Amino acid sequence: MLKGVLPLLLLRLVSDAEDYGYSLVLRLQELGLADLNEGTVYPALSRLESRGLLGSRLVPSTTGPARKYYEITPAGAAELSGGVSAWESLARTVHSVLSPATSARNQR
Amino acid sequence: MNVLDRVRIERAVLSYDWWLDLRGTPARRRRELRRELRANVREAAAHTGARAAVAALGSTRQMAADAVLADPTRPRWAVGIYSGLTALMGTLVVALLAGTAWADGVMSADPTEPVRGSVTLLPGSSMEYAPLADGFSISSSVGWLPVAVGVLVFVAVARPWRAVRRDAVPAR
Repeated sequence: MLKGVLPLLLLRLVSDAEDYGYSLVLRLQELGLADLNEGTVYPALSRLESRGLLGSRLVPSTTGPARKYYEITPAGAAELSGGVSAWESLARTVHSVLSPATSARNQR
Repeated sequence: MNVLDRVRIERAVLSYDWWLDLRGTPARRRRELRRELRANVREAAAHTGARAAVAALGSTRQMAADAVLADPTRPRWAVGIYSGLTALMGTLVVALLAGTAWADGVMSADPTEPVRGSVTLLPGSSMEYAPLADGFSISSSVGWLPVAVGVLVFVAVARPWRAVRRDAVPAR
């Protein structure tokens, strides 16, 4: 389920501020996705970049190799907007189906 | 970061590159993805240790599958070269073992005249044993088979004809 919404989450985080792969992993883990691993996030970033939803630039690092910072593109912003609307609509529908009132109605 | 940690990270990066090449990812894109992965894993290793940082990647095959769309029309040069060299080295080891066995057999017969021969399964190979006043001399040639095996494996794995077909397709 997470894989389906991960691109949306990454677009949202990068829309706040440009960021690089490992930092995004840490931010997502701090936000509650503790089981998320790097092997899921890095490919998702590559796909978003290939689709033109993210742009990137290399920034030299004092601690190691240059970091690849991602920034959201206009196409990415549009995708994010549409994705948020679709997610909110889906969440409302799922919530209404799973709510106790609906369950009770269905049992009658 | 110690040498062992660097080796762990490079092994993961090369494994990722291997699977990317198998999916037909162009060399430039593979170089970008390698550089990015190396930078991220090194930073993760500084926080959690190299072993944990590499383990957190999971399957590099799955990573490659998730990162790029497969392009079955591109040759797989890196995988082809690696496979071809491995086949060449393997065949050379077999030739070395066969030559050693041949020499052992000749020496156990203790001939007084020079002996020439070849290994049946290595066409083109030749070996020569010559007794000397103070010992013996052995010379050998492995023939063309190891190189032929290496080239065949390279061609079968790299599929270079794909490059010709790509060039033949008119740009749309």
